[in-house]
Amino acid sequence: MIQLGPELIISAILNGLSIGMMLVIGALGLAMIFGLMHIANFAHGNFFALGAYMAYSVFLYTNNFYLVIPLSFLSVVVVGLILEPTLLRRLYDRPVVDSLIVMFGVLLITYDIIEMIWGSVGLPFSAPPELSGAISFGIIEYPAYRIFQISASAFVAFFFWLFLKKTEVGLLIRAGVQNREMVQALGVDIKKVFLIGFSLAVGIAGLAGVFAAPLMQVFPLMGNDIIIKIFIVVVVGGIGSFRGTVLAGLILGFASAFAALIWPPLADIVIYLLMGVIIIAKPGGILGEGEVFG
Amino acid sequence: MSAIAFKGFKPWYGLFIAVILFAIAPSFMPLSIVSDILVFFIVVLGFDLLFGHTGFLSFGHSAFFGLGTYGTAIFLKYAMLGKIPIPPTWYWLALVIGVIVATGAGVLCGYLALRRPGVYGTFITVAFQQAMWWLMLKWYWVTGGENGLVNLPNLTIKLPGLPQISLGDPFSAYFFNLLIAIPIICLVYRLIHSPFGLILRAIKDNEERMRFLGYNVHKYKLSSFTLSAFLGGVGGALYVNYYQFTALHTIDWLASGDIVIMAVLGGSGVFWGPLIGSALYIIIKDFLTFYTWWWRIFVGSLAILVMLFFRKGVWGILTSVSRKLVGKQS
Repeated sequence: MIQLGPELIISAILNGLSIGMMLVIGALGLAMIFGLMHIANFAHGNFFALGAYMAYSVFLYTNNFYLVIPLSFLSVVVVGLILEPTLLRRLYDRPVVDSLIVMFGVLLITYDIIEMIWGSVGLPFSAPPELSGAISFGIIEYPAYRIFQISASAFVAFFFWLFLKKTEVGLLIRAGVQNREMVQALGVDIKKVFLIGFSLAVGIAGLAGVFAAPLMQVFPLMGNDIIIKIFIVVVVGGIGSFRGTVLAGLILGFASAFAALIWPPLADIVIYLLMGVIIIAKPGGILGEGEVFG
Repeated sequence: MSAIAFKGFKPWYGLFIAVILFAIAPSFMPLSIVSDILVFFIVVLGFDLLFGHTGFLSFGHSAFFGLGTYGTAIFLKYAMLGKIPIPPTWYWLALVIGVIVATGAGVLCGYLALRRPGVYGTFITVAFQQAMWWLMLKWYWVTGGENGLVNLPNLTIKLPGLPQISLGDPFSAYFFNLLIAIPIICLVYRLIHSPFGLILRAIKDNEERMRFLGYNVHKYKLSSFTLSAFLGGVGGALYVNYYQFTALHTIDWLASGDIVIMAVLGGSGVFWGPLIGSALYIIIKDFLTFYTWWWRIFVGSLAILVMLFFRKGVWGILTSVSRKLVGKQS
């Protein structure tokens, strides 16, 4: 067996945080769209990919990574602002499975559009020079970009939480998740809440893609790899639960990072196995059912 | 329901006409397309038993179709290599093995997916399909990885008292498939129109009420899931019998999407929906992939349009049109 020294353990913990935070901010948007609008957004992974591709293009022209982050976020938000009134609005009074199939159609269309614009070959995207080095932690050196990605994702998750807890729109979103009819009955224009909620959720998925881009190549199928894992996070985390989603994302991230220590291909298997075990042991998700988003 | 529109038309005639159509179709259509239509008719029939009749959407149905192809193909590969000591006249056992593998996977996946309500179960089927796809990709020394399994042996059938039949050419393989498919299709027809099918549709309409009435809803749903995976496996086994190869495209997410779109295109919850859906979809997709690289845009738009405006599919359009015609007479 391999020797598990402290440096390996520490780097596995950091890797786990890195994968976990990527899953968390990817899954938060999906969980919110589902909780609020009862839409199962199969295309969520493609907004992730779109964010990464926008980051690639913006970086190509501006060469400034810090400009890339807000611009890619805004461009994905704009796609959300276009898609919600034209397509999603027709789905609100339909069964959830209908929305899943329609969003699968959106997945196919966006996949082809991405391939049309950027080509089917993976594009290299590297971290900005000031983040491409390594940071020393005494016993280990760890890539600076991953530290940036972990902290930036944590900031996004924190601000999303603040937004839900402290702002009026956030309050309406949480209320809408709990009881949509009641919110409408109180005279709130729920359509506006949906518009803001959906655009914000896909924008956050786009941000996850921007942060993930330097960690991997940018390729058309990247949305597909992530959507499966996000689905698993949501299944494990429980229905519409903010804390459950965060916890599930981190657990899966750590599990896959530690599994990779033992045997690299295990990193993927362990996520599926963990899903199976948790479904059998805790059918309601790790924090149980009845949790309300936020 | 739908049969009302065709007064005096006995549903069994439909099965008869379908078989005749499948028998003569190779004379005016490319055989590979007819074979695909037959295979996906069975697969989508299984999918729709779960989706249209029981009300559970499995978005990972290519797992069972794919495992059916891989189960058959791996058995054939090892039989050909002599690792499984059986004579060539017994190679048809591979078809049985493929179906068993798919059905077993269906029991496992159904057990997991049905523990969670509604769309969460659907997410689990997607994850299951992806796990199986991953397994077939990484277990390359058995499954052939990205290349899949090619050049598998043809089946030869030797029944006592009959001459030996070799399924070497595509025509005999196709007609053998048709021969196997007919009883299975009839069985599904009977099942859908049996009390069992009625209970499934009642569960779809109001699961809570069926539970109060004392039905073991979970048992019925799991049976439906298993049957559905069984039919997926049958489709997979027949696919390998016709093509003598399998690869990752039989088990990937696009294949799952294909199955779902076929079902909603033809009309879900009606027996003939899957036949119309698979025939139309395979012809459309063949046409698109021939003329354009961007077929996903068209297929995706088709899925959205059908879901938004023709939720009952082509069969729904046909029945409402024919109902209007009949209505005018009476």
